[in-house]
Amino acid sequence: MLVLSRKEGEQILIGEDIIVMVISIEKDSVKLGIDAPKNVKVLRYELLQELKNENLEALQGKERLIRIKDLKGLLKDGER
Amino acid sequence: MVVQKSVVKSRVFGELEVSEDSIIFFEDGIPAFENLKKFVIVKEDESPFYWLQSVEDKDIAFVLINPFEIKPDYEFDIPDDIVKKLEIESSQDVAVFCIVVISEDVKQTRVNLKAPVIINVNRRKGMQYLLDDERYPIRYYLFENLDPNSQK
Repeated sequence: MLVLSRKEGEQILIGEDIIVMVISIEKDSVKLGIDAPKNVKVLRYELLQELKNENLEALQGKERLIRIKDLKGLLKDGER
Repeated sequence: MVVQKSVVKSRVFGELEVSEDSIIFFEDGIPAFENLKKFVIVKEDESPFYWLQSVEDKDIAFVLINPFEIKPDYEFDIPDDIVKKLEIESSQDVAVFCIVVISEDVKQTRVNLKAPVIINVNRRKGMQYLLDDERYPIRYYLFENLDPNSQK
């Protein structure tokens, strides 16, 4: 991993067209501005992890089928 | 024309006969299951749910729901690069589903509104796309949000 020291307002260039700028530095957080082409997805890393965890949890297979039937009932109740 | 049929083993359905032309190709897989590229969608009888069953791994089957069934005002823009990637030509090509997580306590069942599964039904290409949209949570609790008045 490349580690760089940067001051407020300073920038980092990644590849040809991605610029990361340090907007402000506060006590325990840094505000970064990221300028990247539209096709480059910029994400908070935890969000992708959260999505993966959610997908893993979603996989409950057959035993959940019965629950779906319960769910159907509950949805119907909600409709009333 | 002869449609190639193949049998997919599924933990949920047992053996499932699948025609080649119903297989949806997920080029990037599904986050956490990037290696799985081929899925089929199976409608659950008499319920708003569907299954997204992996063709390659019988144990992998996600429960899906059409988000408009639970949140009629759900909306997002599909960015150009995704339109291109899924070869979407018109809005009629597109089907949107959200992954349902059924909890031990059924009343805690939640729906991932943050990362819809977008499918081009004509080209049979799909992906799970993470929205950059504060309005939609990863965990949308179905029963907390169910408004009896908005349901028919």
